[in-house]
This record gives sequence, C-alpha cells and structure tokens, in this order.
Amino acid sequence: MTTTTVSTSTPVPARRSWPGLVAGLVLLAVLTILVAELDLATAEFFKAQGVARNPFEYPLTAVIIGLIANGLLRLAGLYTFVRPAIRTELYLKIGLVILGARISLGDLLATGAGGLIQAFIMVASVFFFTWWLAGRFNLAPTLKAVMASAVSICGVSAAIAAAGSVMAKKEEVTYITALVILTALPLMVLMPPLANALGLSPVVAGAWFGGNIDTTAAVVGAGTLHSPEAQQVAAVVKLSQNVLIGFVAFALALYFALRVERDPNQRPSPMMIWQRFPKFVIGFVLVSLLASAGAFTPELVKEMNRAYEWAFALAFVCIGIDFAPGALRQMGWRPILVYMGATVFNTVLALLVASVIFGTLGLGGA
Amino acid sequence: MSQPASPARRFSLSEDWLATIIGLLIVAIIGLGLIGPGPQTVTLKAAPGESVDKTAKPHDGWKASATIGGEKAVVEGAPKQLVDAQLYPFVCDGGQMIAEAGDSSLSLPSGGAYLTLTNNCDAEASLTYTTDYAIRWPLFGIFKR
Repeated sequence: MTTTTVSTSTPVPARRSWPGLVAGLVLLAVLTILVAELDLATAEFFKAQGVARNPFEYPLTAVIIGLIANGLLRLAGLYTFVRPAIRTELYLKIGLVILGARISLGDLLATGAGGLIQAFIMVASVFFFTWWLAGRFNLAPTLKAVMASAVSICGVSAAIAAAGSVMAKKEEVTYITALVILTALPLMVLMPPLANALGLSPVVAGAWFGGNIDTTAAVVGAGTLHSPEAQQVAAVVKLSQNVLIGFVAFALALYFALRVERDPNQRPSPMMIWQRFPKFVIGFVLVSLLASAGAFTPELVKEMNRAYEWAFALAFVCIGIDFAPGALRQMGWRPILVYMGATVFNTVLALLVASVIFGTLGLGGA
Repeated sequence: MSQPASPARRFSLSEDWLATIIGLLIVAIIGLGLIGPGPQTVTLKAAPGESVDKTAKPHDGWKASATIGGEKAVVEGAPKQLVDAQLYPFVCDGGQMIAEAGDSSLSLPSGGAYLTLTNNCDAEASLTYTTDYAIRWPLFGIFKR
C-alpha cells in the first residue's frame, strides 16, 4: 500500500502558481471588501430596527461569503487554481502580531499565565481522552495522534505538526483539517450567545473559546462576535495553547520512535521543540512590549486595530473557502464520531477549567 | 565524467516567520505615523462669553463640526489642513460658527496647530475637529445609505 507522509511543521500551501496566486489574492481582496461593505450595511439595517448590536458581525459575514465563494469556485473548476492564495493561517498570524499592540504586558502576563495553566490542563486531558476514545474505535495510531493533537491544541497547525512527527498519511491530515473546520464553524457562531446565556463574563467567555475551539481563526472569530475583551482573552489563551505544539510534537515523535516503530535510532532531537514553536508569538509579544512601553499613541493603536480587522477578515473568508466536505466522505463515520465525542468533552471541560481559572481564581482580570 | 547538476537551493521562509515579518512591518509603518496620526478628535467647548484654545496635530483631512446650545450648526470656512505653529481662530457669533482668517505674521512655538474658540453667542458653543482612519472599514461605503 502506498502511503504519502507529511513532514512539514506548518500548513502546506498549495503548489505555487504565480497566476493562481495573483488571481486568488485579487479574489480575496474583492471578497474581503465585500465583507466590510456588507458589515456596515447590516449594522445600519439592525440599528434602524432598534437592534444596537449587529448580530451578523464581520467574522460570520466573512465565513458565509467564503463558503459561497468555495461552492462557486468548485462549480467553475477554479478552486485549485486560486488555492495558493488561500492562506488562512498566514493572514491570521499577521493579524495576531498586530493585535499585540492592543494588549498590554500586564494583561499579557496575567492572561498568559492563566492561559498556560489552562493550556496544560486542557491539552493533557483532551489529548489523552481523544487518544483513548480513538483506541476504543480502533482508529489507526497515526490518525489517533493527528486527531488528538488537533482537538487538544490548535486544529490544523497542530495536526500538521503531529503528522510530521508520526509520519501520518497526507489524506489523514486532509481529513482532520475538514473535521476541524466543520466543528469550528458552528462553535464559533454558537458559543458567543451560549456564553451570554450562561452569564459568563467576557474574560471567562474568552478563555472558554480559547480553550475549546480548535482553530485559532475561529477562536478569534468567536471572541470578536462576543466582545472586544473576550476577543483579547481568547487570542492570548489560544496562543498560550499554541506554544505547546512543539512539546507535543516532540513527545509524539519520541513515542512513535520508541513504542510504535520500536526504532531507537529514530529518536528525535529536542530541537524539534523550537522547530515547531509558533514563531509569530514572538512578534506578538514584541509588539505588546512596544505598546506597553508607550511606543504608540492611542490613536495609532486604533489605526492598528483597523489593520488587524482587515487581516482577520481575510482569514475568516479563507476559512469558508478552505472547507472541503469531500474529504469527510472518504474516511467513514467512526473518526467523525470520535472527533465529535472529543469536541463535546473539550467543550465541557474548557467551560469548567475557564470558569475556575479565570472566574473563581480571577486570573486574567476577571 | 560530468556530475549531475544539483538542484538550485531556494531560500524559503516559514509561514510563521513570514507572518511575523509582515505583521511587524505593518506595525512599524503605522506606529511611525507614516500613514497618518490615526483618528484624531479635538473638541473645544466654550460657555457664553468664554474663550478657549487647544492644539491639534498638523495634518490634512480634518473635518469640522459644531453645536450651539446643543443644536448642530454649520461651520463656515473651516480649514481642512492644519499647519504647525499656525493659529486658527473660530468665533461663535449671532448663532453661527465662523472660521476667521488667522494672523500668519504671529510667531507661535512649534508643537501643533492652535485652535481657539471665542463664544459671543448666548448659548454654549462646541467645535469638534476630527480626522478619519487612514485604513478605512469599509473601504468605499457602497452600501451606506
């Protein structure tokens, strides 16, 4: 049987084609401008109806526009052509670096400390629960590793990092990517109103989104739909979780070398921890440090808010375009059941942990 | 015997570093004020008979608005470009907000454009000078009613 393995640390862009890249970027720009225009129009419409807050905030509009574009591109046979420009993670990471300007060092340390404690609990619990559940459903060890990493850490990036460590099949990563987006989209839309219904403070709500939703883009989207404070906490909590990718990838590589493959010569180097480390977090912290040192006036920070809104809008449009339902049909129902079970476990546990750490213990300014 | 040509090494940057560099570049461009000072608001409020002053950043694209006794009022002749160390006097008179010609021969210290408001009206007068974001959301406002 032929297996295609994945060994990259970051999401693999589609094969580069300059005309496709340029056409894709133009298309993305047009779609994102459309999102911004629709966002204002819907806000004004609801304001005229006496609804102060626009329930269709731009992350939702962007994902819907992206999904429509996804369908149309596939119908027209142009999906693969424009694929090189669809770089959800890249646009999101650019936005997160800029977002650093809005988060002071004090907030970063307080939220980051709470986020790291939450991340250790969540990653360990959700990883091993998913691993156990996948074992009960007899999933392949490589698929178990990729799925457990995706659910417990940060979706697509973690899936790819884990796939590199355990030499998973390419189709396993494609499949998990589709599942990640399939679950992240409803969670992004449903969790903010659920947080309001549960009476969660913006800090606890943000920590819940950051601890539960798999993709960083959808975490930021849910935070944006809830409130600016929730967006900030959600992003920092998710980044705290993201920095654990390297450690999990290293541990997985070690486990597979020694226990699954039983080849001590394949022992991974600790350098893998740095290789898998999400380097954009360094940029995010650096910008936060500059902002805390008073490098930017409040007006310039407002201007930067606009810049990251555009970057996030681009990423949200890409989430919709990225969604590939076809991949789900190939693997059958067992992995879907495991993934859904793990997501439910993740959602409930994240609510409990976020409520204790950010609510009861008051870390992160709750 | 000829050696097979080795493939040319291509420099490639990981997505993380690429995002970091682009993000920091955007922060530097905005943070250094290269695309403008960000959205500014300067408000002068004067009670009847009072005179107040404030400084504003020297910049083009300012928009002026005013209220007299809480009612919106038209500001006549308000300059859109404010120059450093220049005086921009405004007077509320006869229920109207009027921009007067500044005395360019005055030698004022650098540190912003000087706005003054003299209220000769019977009600409180307020003058607000604002600049918009350089990065607009939405871009064109095509669906704006």
